[in-house]
Amino acid sequence: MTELTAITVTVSHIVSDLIASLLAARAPVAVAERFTTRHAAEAWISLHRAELIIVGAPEDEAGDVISRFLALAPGATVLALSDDGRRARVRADGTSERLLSDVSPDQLADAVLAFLGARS
Amino acid sequence: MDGTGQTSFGSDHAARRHPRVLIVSETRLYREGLAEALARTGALDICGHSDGAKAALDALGALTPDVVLLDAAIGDGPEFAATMAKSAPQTRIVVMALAEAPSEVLSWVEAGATGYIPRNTSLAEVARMVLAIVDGAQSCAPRVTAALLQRLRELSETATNRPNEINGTQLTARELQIARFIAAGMSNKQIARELDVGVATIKSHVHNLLGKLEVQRRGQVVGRLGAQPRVDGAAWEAMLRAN
Repeated sequence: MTELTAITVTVSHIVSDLIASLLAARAPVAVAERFTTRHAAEAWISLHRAELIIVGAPEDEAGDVISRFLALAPGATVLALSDDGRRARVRADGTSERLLSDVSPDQLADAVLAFLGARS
Repeated sequence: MDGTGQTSFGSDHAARRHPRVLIVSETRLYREGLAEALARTGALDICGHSDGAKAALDALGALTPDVVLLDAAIGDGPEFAATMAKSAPQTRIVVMALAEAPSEVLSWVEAGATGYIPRNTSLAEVARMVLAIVDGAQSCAPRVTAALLQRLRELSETATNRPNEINGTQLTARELQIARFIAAGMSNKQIARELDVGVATIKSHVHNLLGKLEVQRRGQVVGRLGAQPRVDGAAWEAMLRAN
């Protein structure tokens, strides 16, 4: 399987590493860039390709944030993680969103990899 | 907020070469994810993870970890750390993903935390930092170091200047200390040597002491100290620490 490029946006370094580590243990995923603002990430996406976008967002903004990133990167899968890390939403263009509550590492990785697998 | 009261038990290595670590976080992704990622490093023995305060306190007794890696976002925060520290004083409490603001760090340390992992730490650094903390070393941002030094200075001043009441007379811890030396029959020179200060400094303290106790001669100090000077144990210990 070809290595998948991921970026993280407004997620703390340690959480970003944690998710990357959990995914990397199950599939060849590498975090290419980390962004502390959505604006910087959007600028990067307009020039580069990312298969997975992991973004930290308050729950009431998550839907809009995912839509905005998918508009910029239609081929990507977007994972939005709530501020407290308890809920996650995963969506790709043209697919139904998956909502995960009290999410475990396995559930998160399975959901993301299922979306990525469906896209490839 | 407490979790569902669950603790998962990990490996039980007979040869405890690595520190046994209990991970406590109300967020499942973090506690299980950290357990998995840190176990993979091979540097720490992850003996379990708990989802809240009650389960963590139960696990402390059952697992006797060397280290509790405590999510800074845990409900009750430092208060909970204080409870844990009282419950298992031998266990090191390391606060995980802490915002490295001096006031935050101080509140956790004063509650009983041994160390902390800053929020901006990379996952690769976590195991190394935990091992360093177990070994007695903590990396700090310069602002945090400065705040800790200032707090230490404040505590030292408080201990040195804390008034102690002797038969209705307020004495500083230093004056009380000198009064006790005088009562023990020590000369100014001997006291100066004992406290590693100049004789003139001791003379000044003695002058103030005699004035406060309203006596003319140092021999009268013994009588004014009385049989039961009203100094509690904490004040006495603080006085000793100040020296």
